[in-house]
Amino acid sequence: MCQHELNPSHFEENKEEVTHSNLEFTQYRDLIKDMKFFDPHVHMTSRTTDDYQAMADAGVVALIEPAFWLGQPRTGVASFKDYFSSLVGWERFRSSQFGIKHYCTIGLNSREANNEALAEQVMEVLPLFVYKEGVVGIGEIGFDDQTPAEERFYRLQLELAKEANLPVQIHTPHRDKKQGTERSMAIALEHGLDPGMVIIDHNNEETVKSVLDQGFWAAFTIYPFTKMGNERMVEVVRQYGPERIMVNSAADWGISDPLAVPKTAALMKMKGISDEAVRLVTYRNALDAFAQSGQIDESDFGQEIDQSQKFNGNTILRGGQQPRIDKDSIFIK
Amino acid sequence: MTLPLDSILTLRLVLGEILAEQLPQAGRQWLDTKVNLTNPVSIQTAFVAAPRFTGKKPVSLSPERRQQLAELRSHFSLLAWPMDRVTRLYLLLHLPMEQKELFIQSIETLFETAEMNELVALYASLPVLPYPEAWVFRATEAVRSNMGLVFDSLALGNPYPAEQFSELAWNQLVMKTIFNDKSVGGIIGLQERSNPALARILVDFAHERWAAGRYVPARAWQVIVPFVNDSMVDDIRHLFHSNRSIDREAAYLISTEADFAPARKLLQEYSITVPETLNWNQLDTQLA
Repeated sequence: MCQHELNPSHFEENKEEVTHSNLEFTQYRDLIKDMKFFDPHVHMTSRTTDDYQAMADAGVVALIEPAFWLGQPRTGVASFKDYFSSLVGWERFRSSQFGIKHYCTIGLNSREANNEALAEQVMEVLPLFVYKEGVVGIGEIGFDDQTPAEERFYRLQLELAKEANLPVQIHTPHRDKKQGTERSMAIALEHGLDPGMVIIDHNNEETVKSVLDQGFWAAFTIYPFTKMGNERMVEVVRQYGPERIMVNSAADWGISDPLAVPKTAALMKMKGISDEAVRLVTYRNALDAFAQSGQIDESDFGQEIDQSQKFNGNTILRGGQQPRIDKDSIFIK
Repeated sequence: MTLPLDSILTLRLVLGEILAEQLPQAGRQWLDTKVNLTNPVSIQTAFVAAPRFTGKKPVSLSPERRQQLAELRSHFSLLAWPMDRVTRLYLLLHLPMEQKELFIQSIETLFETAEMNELVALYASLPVLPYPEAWVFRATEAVRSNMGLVFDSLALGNPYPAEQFSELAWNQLVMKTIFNDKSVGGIIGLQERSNPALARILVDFAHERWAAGRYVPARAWQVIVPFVNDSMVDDIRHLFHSNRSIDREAAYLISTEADFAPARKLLQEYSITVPETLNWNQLDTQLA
């Protein structure tokens, strides 16, 4: 898309060859053994059951799925309703089968804010969803092309967040990022939001300082090619420390990596970042930021799966364990 | 059955008393402000937001309360309901019940936007809502659901389906309960609503499972009892030959209870010993 990892950052180039995309689980499993992770931005609707299984194996105990666009524009408010319903319904249930606690943020994404007639209808149904259990914020909202329509619906949703007393998860644009990020923060402050209730997402080396200086949470998306690589992430944590910083995968229907959070934790440990800093950046900070919604109870994480939720005639949830299929076997029983 | 409006209003009073006694104080204050709002959207929003204020402690019911509820509506109890669900039912009963169209539309909107626990609350509430015939389609959607808790809230311990479902919808419900390995004995009206078509579907299903080297839950066989005919004698034999004792006990109960001589004769052929008090409920391995 736009920014490419070959574009130099103002950090020293690191010559290490390990990157999150070529790291295999067997190589880093021991480094993160017994650690647990919280991925506060991942679009599981686009992912397979294999991804859920791999995430659970790597220690991901909870995740947040922000509402976003689906790769193409929706044509009616009913498809928004169905999508929001699936985030609090089917997808949450699917996740629970793998022992991963699924939360979501609900909002009208910036791209589709540009269809104003439809966006107005979406605004009418949003209140029915934002108060639902397990909805931990309004998101992901903000700017994409930075049009007047995007600004209008961004402001309306900031007001909704204030009314519902929910954190806000802000998507920052790919193009004209630095200014778009500044503008997003200025508008949030103008509406009287506490920066401690606002998570600015998709940061990079250019945006992070101002975000932290103004008291917002700074989230970093570890996503191949278009966003952050995790070697750069290690350097960010080295420079700014772990306070109010969190990493996520933003894995979706593009080439992305649902294991970005555990892999980044492993890489940080390899490169000498302290255990406590790794824990804050890959688990605790995201938890603290979104728990301000009152909708997260840490004691729910890693709970045995409710027996009564098994379905479809098989023993899928018996003992809280997803049965494994032997992928090398030619027999399917 | 349609619950008379005065019974519904009595139920609303009873729920109000229970909530006043058992909600945390903040939840009580919140609820007081909400039930005084008359427009449906405010009630709907409160329905959605309820768990934030009520918590999820299970409601506690004195023997008098249980008695009172059972008298208001047969097969309806709040047993093991969490406080948010009790609150949600209480709120539903504050929607404009006398205005049929508006009431139905308000409930439909909640169904359309519901997450899992809201669906459970809605389905568990069906037996005490006015206009029971209006929810039949929604109720069949619960039978189609892959979310276990949603299915359970309608299929098990709920008198609504037995009262409102067509034979086709009823048979789907029973077969999905069996297929999903859930407690067949938890279905209210299992015996009363049994029918020849269901007996035939169950036998065909058993043949498929046996071909795959699997079993049918023994408790399910009760549905064929009134409809046993010549074609089923070999199937009863199959059960007598099963390596599972509960299958052999099911065969014993079918042969004893069916009013069909060739089945009775099997009892002499296969003289098995069973517990003196044997009944169908003991064959329900899924009962808690």
